Amino acid sequence: MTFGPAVLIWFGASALVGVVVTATILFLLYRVRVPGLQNQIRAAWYVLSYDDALQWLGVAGKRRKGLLNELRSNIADAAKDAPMRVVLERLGHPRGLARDIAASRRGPSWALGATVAVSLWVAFDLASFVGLDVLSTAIEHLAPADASLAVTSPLLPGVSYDVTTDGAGKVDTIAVASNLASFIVPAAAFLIFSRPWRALKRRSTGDATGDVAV
Amino acid sequence: MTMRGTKVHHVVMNDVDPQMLKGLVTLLLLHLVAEREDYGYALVVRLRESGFGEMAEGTVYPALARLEQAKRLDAYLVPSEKGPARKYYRITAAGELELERTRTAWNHLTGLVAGLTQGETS
Repeated sequence: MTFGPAVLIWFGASALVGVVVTATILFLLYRVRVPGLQNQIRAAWYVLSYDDALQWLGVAGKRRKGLLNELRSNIADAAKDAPMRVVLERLGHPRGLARDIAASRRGPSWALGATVAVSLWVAFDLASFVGLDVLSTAIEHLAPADASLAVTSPLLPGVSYDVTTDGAGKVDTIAVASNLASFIVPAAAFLIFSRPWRALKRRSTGDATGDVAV
Repeated sequence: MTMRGTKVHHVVMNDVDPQMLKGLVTLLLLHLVAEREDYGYALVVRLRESGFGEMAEGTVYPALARLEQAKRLDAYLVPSEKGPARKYYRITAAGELELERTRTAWNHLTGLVAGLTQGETS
C-alpha cells in the first residue's frame, strides 16, 4: 500500500481548501467594521492575535468576549481619525496589550490546553497513518506469505500494527491499535497548557490599578 | 488658554518621558471619567486634545481595565449603530476617593518639585 499521485493531490487540495475555509471563517469571526478590505484584514489579524494572547493568558468567557468587542469598537472609532497602520501602532503589539489588560485576571486556559491536546492527537494520528504506509511497504518486501504479525511502532509509544499478508506476500489487512500510552502525551499537554492550578490561586485583593498614583 | 500657552504646553508634553505619563494615567482617566462618562477611544481623544498626545491607546486601555477591575470605574454597554456596543465608563464612589487622593498627592508632589527646582535656579 503506497500513496499514488491521486491521493497526494487529494490531500493537497483538501489541505488548501481547509486553509481557505479556516481563513475565511476566522476573518468573519474577527472582522472589524472599517472601510477597505485591506484594513479589515489587518484589523481582523490584530484582533485574532489579541484573542489568541488573551486565551493564552487564561482570560475566558464573557470577559474575553467583552474585551474583544471593546477593542473592535475602539479600532473602528479610531480608524475614522487615522490610517489603520497608525491605529494599530498606537495599540502596540497585541500580545503586549493582552498581557497588560489581563495582568491581574489570569485563570486557567482551557481553550489553549484543549487546542494543544487536540493538535497533538491529530499529529499522532497522522504519524500513525504515515507509519502505516511505511510499514506496509517494508512488510511486502520482508514478510512471508499468509503471515500475521504484530509490530510495535518504534516512534509512537503505545501504537502497534497488526498486519496480515496474503498468499502472494502482499499486505492484506493492517489494524492500528493504540493503548493508554497514546493518550498520556495529549492529556499531559492539556494539563500543562491549560494551567488549572491558576483557579486555585488566591488573588490579591489590594489596589490593582497597577500604575503609580503619585 | 492663549495660543501661545497651548503651543508651549504641547512642546513640553512631547518632551515628557512616556514612563512618566504612564504613572499619571490613573489620575487623568479618573478625572476625565468623573467629568463625563465616556468610552475608551473617546477618552484617548480627550487626552490628546488636552495635550497628552503621547499617551497611546496601548497605555490607556489597560489602565481602564485595571481601574474597572479595582472597582474605581464601572462599565456599561451602549448599543452602537455600526459594530459592537460601546463600553462606557463611569466613576464609582471608590474611584472618587482615589481621584481625590491622587490629585492631592500630585499637587503635593508638584509643589515640592517646583519648590526644589525654583530654589536651585534662583
